[in-house]
Order: sequence, then C-alpha cells, then structure tokens
Amino acid sequence: MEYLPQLDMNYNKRSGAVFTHVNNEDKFFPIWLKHYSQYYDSKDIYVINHNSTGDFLEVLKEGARKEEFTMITVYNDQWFNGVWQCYNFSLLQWFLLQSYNTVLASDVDEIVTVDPKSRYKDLREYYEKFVGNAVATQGYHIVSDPLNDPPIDISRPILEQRNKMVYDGFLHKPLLSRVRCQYNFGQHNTNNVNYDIDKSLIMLHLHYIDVEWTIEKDNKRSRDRWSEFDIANGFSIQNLPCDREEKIKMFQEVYSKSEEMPYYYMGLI
Amino acid sequence: MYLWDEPLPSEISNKDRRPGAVFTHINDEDKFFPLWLKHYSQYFEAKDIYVLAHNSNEEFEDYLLEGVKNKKFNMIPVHNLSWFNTTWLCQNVSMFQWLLLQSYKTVTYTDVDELIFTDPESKWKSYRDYYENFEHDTAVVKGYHIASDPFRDPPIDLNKKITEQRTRYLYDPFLDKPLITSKHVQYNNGMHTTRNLSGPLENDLIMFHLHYIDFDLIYKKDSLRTIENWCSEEIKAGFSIQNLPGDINAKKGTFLAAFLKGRKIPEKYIGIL
Repeated sequence: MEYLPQLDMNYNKRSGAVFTHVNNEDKFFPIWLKHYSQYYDSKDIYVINHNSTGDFLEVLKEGARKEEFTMITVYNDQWFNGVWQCYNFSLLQWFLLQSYNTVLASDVDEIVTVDPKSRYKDLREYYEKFVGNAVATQGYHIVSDPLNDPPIDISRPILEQRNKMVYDGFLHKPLLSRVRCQYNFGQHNTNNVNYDIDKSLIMLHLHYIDVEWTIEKDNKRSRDRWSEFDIANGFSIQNLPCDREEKIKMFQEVYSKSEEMPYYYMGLI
Repeated sequence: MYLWDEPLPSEISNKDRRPGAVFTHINDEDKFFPLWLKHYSQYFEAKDIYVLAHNSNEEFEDYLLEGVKNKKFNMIPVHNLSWFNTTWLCQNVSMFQWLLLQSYKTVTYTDVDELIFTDPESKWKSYRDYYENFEHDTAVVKGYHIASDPFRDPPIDLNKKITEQRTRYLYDPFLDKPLITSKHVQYNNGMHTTRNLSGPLENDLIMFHLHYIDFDLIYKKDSLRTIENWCSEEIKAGFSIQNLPGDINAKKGTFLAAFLKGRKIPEKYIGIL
C-alpha cells in the first residue's frame, strides 16, 4: 500500500517555514524566535507547544496574539517522549510542505544559519535557493566553563559572552528539507531521505551555554513523567534531572574539548 | 533502531491523548463559519477546535484572528493561491489529521457547511458522548442536504435556527462520509471516502449539509471566486465544479431539484441547528 501522496498539487507554495517544539523554554525560546524572525516572516514561523505552563505559556500566548508566530498545542502528559516528539516533528513537516517549498525543523536550542564566509548572504537566501531533498548542518556546541563563566545576559548577543565551541558530528542534522522526512530520534537522521552535509549551513547548539539554565530547567522536569521507553533506551537522557555536581562535570567535559570560535561568528547570535 | 518500518507510524506513543478534536478547512466563509463554530463548540472545548485558513481575505482573516485572540479556536494558515484545489486540500486534511492523532484519540473533519449531530432518539446523549465512546477506525455519517426553494423561500437568517426556517431535507448517499476517524486516514477527494479505513455507516450519526439553504448566499459566494484562480486540472477532472461561478438559472435549477426531491424534516430534528 502506498501511504504518502505522490502528487504535489500546489504551484504557489511559499518559500520557507521554520518550526520548533517547546516545553517551558523561557530562556532558549526568545533567542530562537529572535534569530529565525530575521529570516522568516512571522506567518511562516510555527511553534509546537507541548504542555507549557505558567509564565512561559503566557509568553507563547502573547506571541501568538501579536502574530509573531503560529502556535500549535500538542498534548502528552509526559515531559519527554522521544518517539512521540519525533513523529510530531515529521508530521508537521509533511503538513507544512503542502504550503511551503522548504521546511526547517529545529530544536529550540538549535540556531541554524549560514557560515559568514560562505557564498550565501543569509539563511533566507540559502533556503530560497535550496534545490536538494534535504541538507544536514555542520554542527557545533557553543560551550561555557561552568565554574568560571558569568551567567548569560539574554539581552546581549550570546556570542559576545561565549567564544568557545566544539564540533560534533552528531549535530550533522538534516534540518532543512524539501521532501517529506521520516525523522529518527532527535532528528539526527532520517529513515527515508538521502542528504549531504553542507559546510555553508552551520548549526550552533546552545545547550551548553549556561549550566545554571540547564540545571534549573532539568530540575523542573521530574523523572516520573518521562517516557520509560526513552529512559531505558537512553534517548535524550542528558536532559534528565540529576545531581548538580554531575551536571557541572558534564559541562566541564564538553568545555575541555573546545576550541576558539572563529572571530567572524561573533555577531551571529 | 528505526522508528519507521512503514511510512506512517502504526502505534502512537502517547497514553495521554485527549478524546477528540474537530477541524475544518476554510476560504472566506463568513456565513457558514460562525454556524460551524457555534455548532461544534457545543461538543468540543475551544482548544480542541482547529481551523485551517486558506488564503482568507483581509476582513475574514481579521475575523479569524479575533476568534483566536478570544480563544474560541486554533487557526493554522495554509498557502495556495488557487481557490479550489481539492487534491491539495484533501492531502492537507489527511496530513493534519495525522498530526492531530498524535494528541487526540479521535479526529472529526468536516467541510464548513457540514454539521454532525447524533439522532436525538439514539442511545447517544450528544456528539461528545459519541466520540468519547468511539471504538471504530472510522464511522460514516448519514448525510442530508437541507434544501430551500430558490424562488419562494425568504433569505436565511443565520442568527436563527436553520431548521426553523427551512422545511425540507434530502438524503444523499454521496454525503455518507467517513468524517470521524481514530487511525491515520488517507482521504480521497472531498473526503467522501478513504483509501485505507473502513467503518460502519452509523444511522444515529446525522450530518446536515447546508450548501442548499439559501440560493442568493451561495450564488454571491461562488461569484466572488473567479475561475482564473481555480486549479485547471481540477476543472478538467470535474472536482467540486458545483462551486464554480456559473449560470444563475442552471444553479437555481440545481437548488430547485434538491427542494422538490426533498422530504419534510422530521420533528425530532427541528431546533437542533
């Protein structure tokens, strides 16, 4: 049985949409939104809201009311359920491809942009000219020294406050696509689409920019509301609540592998 | 480990799904949409009501945005310059149903002029009771056109009950549509059938189709949709061509035929909508 429609019946698609999946992300979401709003019209920005609460839910509602993005709420009482989240990512991507030529799917701490030394002026030019099926980013963690770096000031450019990065092959993620992707866990690869890595398209992963942000966020997500399947299989377990020292050690380990960021990245975020 | 052993996930890894969502796909439907929303708001919470907004004009878009701001429903815009492109619409509906099933046990899709309710003499208290107890992959509604005499009936007042202003209805097997689903559905054009699911025809599940309730209302709406903006392949294939702008007398004839073939609306349905 053929499950997916083969005919593309829309000759008037818009050039690109971007979306993310958030769950109480008061620190990273403003950075994500500010970044992608430079390259996408607000009507082309979509936010899957998963069980957000309190002040953050109000932030989302206010943003949607001001038409800064379109919010789609999804329901699952579990904090993390990698299988379910991955299907949400894939299915929204399929749906958006009905109206858009390209879709960029990113986690909220993933900032995709073009390398300033590439031939592309910016991310908008990249996706507007993109002709492949999908493309993987060249990915770097932006890292911090958990015991010595000052807290991140969200009102200032992030890369003026952190200047170390770690290249990670695991961050070669096929985040920009023009065909329906069946994403696997964490959107690190797909089950159905071949793609190249393009060094012009970089992804800066912000998970390690401030240990206090991570500790605060992770501790709110109690272990009893995680998918047992995910824990048993080790999916996204870096986000599980854990001992403070353990989290600091995790950050130190990543920091120890870091190198200086190229000077021309400084203004990117 | 691979998640996908077939193109669509066969199991949904969410034990906390809500019982039901309803959605429609609209394009400047200032007359029917308020009726649709009022009707389904009786059976669904506002947060479970979704509207796919296709190329709305500024005025109607403002109306929709106001509804979103007042938390009456969720709106997701879709983009295609063609007024009618039923293949595209059908794929949109199917794919959005797939996404909603990640969060909901059942999904009801209807066109904006299709109102579903349970027969008041059935065992179901309401449509909410029906979908909350739904156990099939899909179920087929029993569909009726509400008919009007294009020459004699007064204009419809959308603030009053429709069934108190129109007296006849016409059963049409073509309206027996599988509009409630609990598995990933591949709809065929117009959502009259599916390619992959089967389910019972539910005599207790009634759908009233409002297309024929007022000739002038429909004629005016169709006239605004110029033929140049239609998908030419669709016109050739004859999909949804009843909505094309066309000859006034021919259209009146269609309305009159539905009226003359119609029967009196049973007393038990009067006042439901």
